[in-house]
Amino acid sequence: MNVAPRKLDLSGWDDRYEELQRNGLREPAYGGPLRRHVVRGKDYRLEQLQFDNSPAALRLWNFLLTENERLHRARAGGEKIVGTMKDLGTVPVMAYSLPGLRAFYPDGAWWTPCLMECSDRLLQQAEAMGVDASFCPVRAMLPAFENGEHFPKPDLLVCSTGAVCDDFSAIAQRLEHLGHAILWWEIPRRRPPAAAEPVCDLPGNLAAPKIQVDCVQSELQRVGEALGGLAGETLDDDLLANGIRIANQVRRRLGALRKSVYAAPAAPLPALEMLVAEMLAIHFCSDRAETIVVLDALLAEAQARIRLGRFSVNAQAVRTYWVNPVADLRAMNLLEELGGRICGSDFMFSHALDLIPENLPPLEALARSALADPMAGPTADRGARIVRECQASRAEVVVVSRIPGASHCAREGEIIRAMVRLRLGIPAIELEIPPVCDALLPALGSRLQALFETARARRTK
Amino acid sequence: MIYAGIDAGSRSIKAVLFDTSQNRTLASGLADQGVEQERLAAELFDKLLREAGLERSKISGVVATGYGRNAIRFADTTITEITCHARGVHRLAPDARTIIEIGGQDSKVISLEEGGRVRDFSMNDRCAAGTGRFLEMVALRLDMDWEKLSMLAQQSTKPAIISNMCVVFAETEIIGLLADGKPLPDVVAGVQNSIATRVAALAGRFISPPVFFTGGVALQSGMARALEEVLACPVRVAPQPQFTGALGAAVLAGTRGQGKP
Amino acid sequence: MDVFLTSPWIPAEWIRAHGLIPRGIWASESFHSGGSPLSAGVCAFAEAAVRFAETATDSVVIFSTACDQMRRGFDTAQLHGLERDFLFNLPATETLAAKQIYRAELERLGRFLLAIGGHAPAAATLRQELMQSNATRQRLLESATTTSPRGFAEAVSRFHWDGEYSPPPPDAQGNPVALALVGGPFLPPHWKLLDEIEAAGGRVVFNATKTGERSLSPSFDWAAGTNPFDALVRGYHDHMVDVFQRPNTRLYSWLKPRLAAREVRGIVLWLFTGCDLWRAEAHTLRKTFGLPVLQLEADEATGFSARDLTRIQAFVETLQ
Repeated sequence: MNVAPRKLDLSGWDDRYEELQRNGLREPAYGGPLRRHVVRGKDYRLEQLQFDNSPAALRLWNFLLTENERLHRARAGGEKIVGTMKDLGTVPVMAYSLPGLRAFYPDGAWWTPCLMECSDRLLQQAEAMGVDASFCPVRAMLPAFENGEHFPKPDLLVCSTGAVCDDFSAIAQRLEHLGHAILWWEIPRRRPPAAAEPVCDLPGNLAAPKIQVDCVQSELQRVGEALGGLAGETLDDDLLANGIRIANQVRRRLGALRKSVYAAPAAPLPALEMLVAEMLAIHFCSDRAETIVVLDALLAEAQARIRLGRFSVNAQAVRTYWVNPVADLRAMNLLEELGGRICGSDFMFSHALDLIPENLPPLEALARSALADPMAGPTADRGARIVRECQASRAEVVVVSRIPGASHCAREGEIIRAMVRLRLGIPAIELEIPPVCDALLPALGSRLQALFETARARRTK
Repeated sequence: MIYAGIDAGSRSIKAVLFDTSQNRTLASGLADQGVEQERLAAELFDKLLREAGLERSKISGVVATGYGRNAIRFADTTITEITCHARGVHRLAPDARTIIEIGGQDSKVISLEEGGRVRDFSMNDRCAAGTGRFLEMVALRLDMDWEKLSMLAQQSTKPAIISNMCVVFAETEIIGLLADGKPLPDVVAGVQNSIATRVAALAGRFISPPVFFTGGVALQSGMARALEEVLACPVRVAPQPQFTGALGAAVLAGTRGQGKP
Repeated sequence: MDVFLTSPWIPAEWIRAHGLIPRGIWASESFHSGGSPLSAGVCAFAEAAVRFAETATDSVVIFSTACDQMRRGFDTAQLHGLERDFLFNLPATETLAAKQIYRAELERLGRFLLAIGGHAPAAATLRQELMQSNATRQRLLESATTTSPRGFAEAVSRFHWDGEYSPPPPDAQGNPVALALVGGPFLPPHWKLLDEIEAAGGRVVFNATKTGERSLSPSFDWAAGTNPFDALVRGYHDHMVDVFQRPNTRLYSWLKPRLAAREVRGIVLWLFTGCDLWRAEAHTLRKTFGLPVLQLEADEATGFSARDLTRIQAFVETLQ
């Protein structure tokens, strides 16, 4: 770290890339200038974004934006591709425990319309398939399966069902109606254990009745058998324990990164890069080993910046706890442009950040981790964690970003905001962010600006 | 010292001159919004100065607010309409705990702490169904002005049910209701109820009284009543509701001019 | 005490066997899906259940996990301190694990019913309840094709309200365009749709909504020595037919012979605004059965707009 943190647009990165190359930048095979993702990949949204200027950030973006290439290469190399849907962070751990399997997250196609500024026409095609804007942007996944222009057709599709969002469930069912067979596994709605009922502790300070853990475990057993069948090798406890151990390496790194960045007096890395980094927890961006390298580089950058007192966002910025991922990445830039910084986040997969217990039989450990999914449990559980993390990170405001069409967002925001208001007394707003939010930027900006004005006024209490 | 607040809303521009030493409004005025927002705002500002017999140099600070605030380059600073409405209403009604502001383009529910500071707020998203835009559409469709619309609503005996959440579809629905012979006053009252319902949904279940209603739509008779019905609590119309944003901006200009946050 | 059920897949027989009174919430006169201010994306049916729970202080509401909207509705009710209510976990799959969940949930519901004043059900009582329910369901199913659509809807609603069978009067059919009504809950205020369809020259010969014929699908078998609780579990879990099931092939298998037998020429897809589960099925219904589909939505209002009526009329006209 020998350059002060700065935010660069794409042109800025063109120059920066040349400079880094002149200085002997060493890159992985997927490396290269960010510009090529616009030229070759038509990721036009990159032209509207501001990026961190570190080589670590460059590596992160290149890693993220080459996932489809990686999947196609893996397919060509004889690996089996597993699409793991809805479940955020459980089945990929199982798939990567077996040799020759590569898991990915087809739902991730929800960002394609944003990245490509709708030039992919995925949302329009989804609409023509009867899945319109009343569904969440994950609907982009449907035509992506059909037109084959993005990810390769998976050899196995696995999807959790039960306590999952309606829009996703409906979209996945439609996918199956289109002829893409799905292995469904049940995740029951997590409930508090009754008195005298056998209880299991779950990651994230949660608990569930043992009967629910047993149910998920037996469902994961089925999934494991299917994965083993695909790999031609049984997913035994040793393999799975090793897979969990490596998944936890990713989670530990992410934990350290979050702690460093969110707890620092000012933000050493921008909100946008943190959002992308956190997403790696779900499915390792289709390369588990490389995920660790990417996160290590980011962590080293963040720690170096903190040591040197060089920050990406200044210490006066309003400490903001962000809830839910955004359909348009531009929103994360906007937050910082208007005077905020992220001091905590719940991007809907907090269970994938918590360590999977390593002192339990591996399948049971994974079942406990799966059942800790915020989507599977009561909103109040999610709200309680948000409140706890807001307190710990001294958040001044909470932004609940609403995913257009997502069934859970229709009520969740109100409940989370009520809990934050009641227990912390800090302002919490809800913002709906569509896949390309340009037309709404003034309105979104006004809301954020008003929120930060309110927070700054409260500092003088 | 005299400060100015300019609220560049989507439908009209409002301006207020406020004297902090006398703690009173010297002048206020309103002009239709247009494409050249800054010129229109400057003309209104100059007009107020003339009315108050003041030179521009006597104005110690100008704060612009409203959706067009960034276009008002002669302002010293911009502050969002949330903060400005809150300050404006608090100035007029210090006991206010909730403010409902229905503007031409968006609606807001602002909760205040004791002392008038904003505690939290909600704003509508993209839908125009809970905004003044809905009434504008109806006025246009019925070819009548706001005042007439307002009077009509008062004559309603059985407000129509407007079921559509989308203003565009609601327009079709209104045409259907009129074609069915539904009395005009009932249709207009139905529209008011529909707006009130949307705003109530925005407010959620956390309304603390006293509730003040501000913004241009507050001048529509019947709107406050419609809000009272859905919120099940009294709703008071703020004095000069269309000016609370500009007043708040002027008051905040004064506060900042005196070195206070 | 009245125990209001938000889904026909929560066994009324089990509640009655505990000495309490099960009520299909949708059959209650106090259940209003109209007029409430809704946040964007909220299902009016789920919201109505929340509001009902808030006002029905001398009874309990059993929510179900069948959809996210209802689960979150329960969360909202809990936020408002309605801790006396119960969330029943309805599994989405047909696996062994799912059946175990269903069974365990019935046991848990039983404990809840005891806690609110019910008594432990005797096996004979439960058996009696199941037999009576079987008989009533059967009689209702038999009347489905011989009564008026409204008469049938009323009779099924009555069954879900007090378990009674009130025979719907037979009704001559003439030669109208035969339609199926497929979808989510179809509440009494919506029944005028049936009249509007008839006025347009059509007729709903197959009411496959969640509160119509489909709600009668649970069935209890009696092998020698059958434990009535086992029969209850099987009767519901193995026979419930709904859109939320994954995969939802059972729904299509159930619809197919009935659509054919009644010579249905068009499907009216009935859903609540905000219901993604049904909304996403329109294309599949069309494609699977080769029938035209008219999608109608219920939101806050219970009335049908002029636009809806025109669509209904045009739909029937095109099929005539």
